[in-house]
Amino acid sequence: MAHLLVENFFNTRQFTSHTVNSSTVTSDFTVDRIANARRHSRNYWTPDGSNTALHVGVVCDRVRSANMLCIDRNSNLAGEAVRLWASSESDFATYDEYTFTVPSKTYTGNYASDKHPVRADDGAIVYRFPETAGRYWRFTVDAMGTGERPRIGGLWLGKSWTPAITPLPWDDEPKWLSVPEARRGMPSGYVDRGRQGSINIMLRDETEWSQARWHIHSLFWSGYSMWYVPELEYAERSWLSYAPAGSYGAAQRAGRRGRDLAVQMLELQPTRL
Amino acid sequence: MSDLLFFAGGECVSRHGTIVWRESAAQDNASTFTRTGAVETYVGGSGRIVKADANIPRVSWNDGTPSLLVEQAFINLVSSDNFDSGWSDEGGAPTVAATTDPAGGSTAYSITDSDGSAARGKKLTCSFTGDGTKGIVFVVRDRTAPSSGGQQIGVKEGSTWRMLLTITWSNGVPSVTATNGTYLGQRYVGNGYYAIYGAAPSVDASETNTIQLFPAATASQTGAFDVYRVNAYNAVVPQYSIQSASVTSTVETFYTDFVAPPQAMTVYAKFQDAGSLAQGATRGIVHIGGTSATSDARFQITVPSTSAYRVGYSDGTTGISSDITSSAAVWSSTVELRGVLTAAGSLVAGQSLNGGAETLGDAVTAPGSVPLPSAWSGERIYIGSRATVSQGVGVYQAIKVARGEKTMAQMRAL
Repeated sequence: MAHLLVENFFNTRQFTSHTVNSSTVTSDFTVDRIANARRHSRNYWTPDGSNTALHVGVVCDRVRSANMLCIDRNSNLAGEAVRLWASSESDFATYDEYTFTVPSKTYTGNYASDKHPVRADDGAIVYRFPETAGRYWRFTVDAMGTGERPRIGGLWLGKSWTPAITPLPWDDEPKWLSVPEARRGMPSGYVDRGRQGSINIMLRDETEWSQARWHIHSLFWSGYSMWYVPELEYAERSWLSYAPAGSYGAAQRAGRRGRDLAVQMLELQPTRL
Repeated sequence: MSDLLFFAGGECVSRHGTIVWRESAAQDNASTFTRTGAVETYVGGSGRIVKADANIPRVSWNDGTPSLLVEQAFINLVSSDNFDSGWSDEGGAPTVAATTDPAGGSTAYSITDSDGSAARGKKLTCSFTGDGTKGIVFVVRDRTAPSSGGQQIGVKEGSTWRMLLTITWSNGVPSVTATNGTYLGQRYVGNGYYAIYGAAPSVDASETNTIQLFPAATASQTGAFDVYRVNAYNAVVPQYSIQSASVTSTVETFYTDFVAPPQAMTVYAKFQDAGSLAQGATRGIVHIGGTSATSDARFQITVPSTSAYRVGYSDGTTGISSDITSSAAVWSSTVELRGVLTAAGSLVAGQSLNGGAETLGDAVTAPGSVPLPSAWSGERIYIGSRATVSQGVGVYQAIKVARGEKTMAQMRAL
């Protein structure tokens, strides 16, 4: 069963009343970089301090619940201890806490059960946790060693959506290959490879559509990238997707209670050959 | 299209991630919540007791189910959370040591009776105000249960037990029986701890009343348990939240925009009644309208007495209501109430307890129907109060409003 994460509390374009904060940064590697979905190796947040606990945080505009965290591949946290806090006290005097060591290896059949981090094929980290609500959220990296400081290329935190009906097709990650034609006078291009997917769902009813309308219609089809976990049992196959150009909708067919929802996905900035 | 007009509460948090439903980014508007002053506690999603700043609503996980808490003001009469030096010995000195708590720290106490010849425990004098029933909460964790006789906690007035609860454990889960007084229920609050709720009736406030804890009730037995908090209140039921010693909590009010005009509609409330019914004296559950609890055009679901729920509607001049009389709801019941406002301006009330068959309310009071006004007196919906007053002890899983006359099953499915 697919799990989709498109919400990101750290994204202040998605949640315009949220305020993102972090440990002190005086360089250009400011905290807004964690939510710009740019996956280049030079796009990351990094603080001034080193060898101490350092954090990024967000003040939400209201109490919000989340159940999934994703750390993008352009980070340097492998093997490091990290903590996710949720609190309704601005000073984090008390908080819900989830801690884990960021895995450095990718395994086959890695089940993304609650509180078990999974390293995806491309190096990103998918972490699910029990649903938790809070107004204030903080992601902290423990001291990494002398002179070491965290670099976080992308951080997604939000409530994932799981369609209630098994998605089709069964083969969830067909490959696409784009080979630019070589033409005289044209610069040579990269050969890109990536993944594409399509989730075709017959929504049960308008209640399920009310969820889909937020996650897919309001967010994914508005241009926000989305983490796609095709199966929890093989969470290493998770990847970051975007909606290709096109016109989308969820038609309501005569004689059927639910709507038909087809979600087309392309991998966002796949690793280059 | 869905007929759902409004959705809030714990089920909304699970489905949509926010306390009040929004379907699109443009609808992501805020609800308003007030609780001036004191910080309040709740059980967070990770299973620990945490706190919320003033004016931040609390979503509490109760045995895995999130709920919106809206509570009246309470004063915890227990003066010390230090079960070592703050509480005195009873029947001899047990061994007391600090241990891990359900809040992520080590502020709880392990109380051990290793004597085997006397029931050794701890006690604290509690100064109740006024005679009557008093609500009590114990937050305890299994450590070493005695092989027989269980462990005991209670309220003693002079030499008379007004409430005496005996606890036995099975795989860390308590089983509680009441020898005296009332055992209301229990809930898991994290790190192996359970909050055990009870009521001590007929307390004479002029007498010396003590709260007592015994890790082994039988003199010849030994035993140990961990205690995090004991709360005691002058109210007939305790506060649902777990409080520190001597905390005075302030009243909470939760409301949000509700712009749908008067029409044929169904209002559904699913909650654990953790004291509103027991206290009676008009407690609010849902209020649609303006800031006045008793005048102007409004729709309400309330608790009018200690045995009834009421669905009421007024056009601002004439009011009608239908009661679920003699409700069998008790502290641990999951209550579902349905109030249907018809296009003709009449009412139907329905109640389901613990998912059981629905019972309908009594006949609508005269005149039977009141034509719908063009607007409510205000574009608000309050949860857990009648406008700004009459808060109870509410643990709200879902509040829904739907267009049209819906059945209980239809409201559940929305």
